[in-house]
Order: sequence, then structure tokens, then C-alpha cells
Amino acid sequence: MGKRCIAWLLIISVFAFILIFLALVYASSDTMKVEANIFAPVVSVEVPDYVYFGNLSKGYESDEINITINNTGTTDISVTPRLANSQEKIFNYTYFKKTSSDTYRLVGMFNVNISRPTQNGVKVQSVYAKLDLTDYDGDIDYDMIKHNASIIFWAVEK
Amino acid sequence: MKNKFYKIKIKRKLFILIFIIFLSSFVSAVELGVSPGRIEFFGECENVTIFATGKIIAEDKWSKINSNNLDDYNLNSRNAGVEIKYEKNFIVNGNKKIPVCIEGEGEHFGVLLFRQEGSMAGVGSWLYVDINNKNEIRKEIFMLVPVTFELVLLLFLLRKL
Repeated sequence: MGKRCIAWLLIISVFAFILIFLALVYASSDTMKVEANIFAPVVSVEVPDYVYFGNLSKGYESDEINITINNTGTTDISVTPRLANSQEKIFNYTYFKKTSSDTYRLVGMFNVNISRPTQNGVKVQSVYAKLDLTDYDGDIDYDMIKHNASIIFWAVEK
Repeated sequence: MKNKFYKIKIKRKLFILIFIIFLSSFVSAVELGVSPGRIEFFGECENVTIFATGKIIAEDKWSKINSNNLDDYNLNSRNAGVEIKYEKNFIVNGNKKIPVCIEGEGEHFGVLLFRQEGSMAGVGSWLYVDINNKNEIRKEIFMLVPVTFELVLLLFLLRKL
């Protein structure tokens, strides 16, 4: 009978210990409660509607076009321009560079990093683009009035 | 005669002003956003929020390696051994939450790309998938250890009674 009592006491004491431990963990103390809404980083980019390279002939290159890309998000981003449809082969000869002193890189081989803006701000980054048909040896449909292709500026978290 | 001349001049200035405003509307920009920029999947569905105004086209690309270079992502989900479900075409007016569900075993690296129709803007969210059934079993076994220990202790104590 005495042993049974000791055993029950042991069981109860184990559970009591667990309960006290949990109570201590979750007990509120005299600390100041602070709150904040933390949002997940947002990847956001602002690019122009379209880029116009002007009038151009085979064997020539277009003027240097300045394209402004804005990081309107809350994180560092990497922006990669890519041809969305390559039906018009001439646009495979689109080149980009970050600064005027850089060398031009072919579309698909170029990307630019834009750091995150300051609180509620916008980080502006300019890139240079040109259409270079100097080495283009394919056919061009001269009857077509406007040649066009879609270039998407893909922005991802860096 | 002079009044007529001035009126023509004012009209011409007005025409130029309207023409400049008309032209400036064509030099507008498009803004597109996505959150979060990186999503981790451990066998459940996750939400992606798109910030835009217009029609959005979504696609996913996969890579064999963990890379931050979009050029490395040239596999489709079938080739990568992943089954992914999400809305491919939808209209957003402000922001929209898109549920993304992934099935498949193992570790996979992908990117979920969103672009606005008729614009040059595109954004992407990196996808990290780690669905490992062996890990799940290991976790369950690990959880069973303290329960088993408690049961053994109870049985031992009851035997003593």
C-alpha cells in the first residue's frame, strides 16, 4: 500500500513538474509589449512602355537609347532583359550596357543589379541600349513599316 | 486684323501644348511587383501576391542547380520532376493573392515569372522545394521517442504498484 502511494505521488509530481515548467515558460512578465507589421520583401520594377530605336538600315547601328529602370520594391534586385519573341531576327542584335564607359553586351548576356531604395523611395538605374545591324547578314523585310519585338525586363530578388 | 493674328497665335500655342501632353502620355512606364521574392515549399501550398493593373501571364522555369541567374532556369516542371499548380492568366487591379501548390519528391530549384501583357515589365519569385518523405518519417520517429519514454515510465511505475 505504501509503495502504491509512493508511485502515485511520483506520477503526480512528474505531471506537476511539467505543468509548473509550462506555466513558467508562458508566464507573462513586466515587459513592454512592442508591435510591428513586418511585410515580406517585395520585388517591384518600373520600366518604360516601349523603346524606339528609330530609323535604321542594314549595316548600321542605332543611336544610343537611355532606358530608365526603377526599383520600386523593398529588396535588392537583379534585372535581366530578354527577348520574349524572337520572330524578328534583327532584334537578336540588341545590345545593353550599364554605364557609358562599359562595353555593350548582347541581349540575354546582360543583367544589372539595383539596390533597394530607401524607405518608401525609388532607386533609379539607367541602362544604355542600341540595335546594331553592322554584322547582320540576314534578310530584312523592307516592305514592313514597323519592325518590333518584345523585350521583357525580368526583375528577381538578388 | 491684329486681334485675329493673336487669336491664331494663341490657337497654335494651344495646339503645341496639347500635342506635347499627347506625346508625354506615350512615354509612360509600367510598374509590376511580386511578394515574396523567395518562397520555400515543404509540401504545402503557398501564396504569392502580385501588384499590378492589367492582365498577367505567369510561367514557371526550373534549374538543376541552385542559382540566382535566370539563364540557368531552362527546364519545364515536367522535366524537373515537379507538379506545380497556379493560375496562368489572370487580371489584377491593385493586388491579388495567387495560391501556388507543388507536388514532387526531393529538392528542386525554380522561378515563378509574372509579366504584364503588352508591357516590358516582368518579375519573378525564386522557388525552393524540399519535399522529402524520408525526412517526414524521421520527424515522426523523433516525435515518438519522448511519448514512448513516458509510456515506459508509466508502465514501470504501475508495475511497482
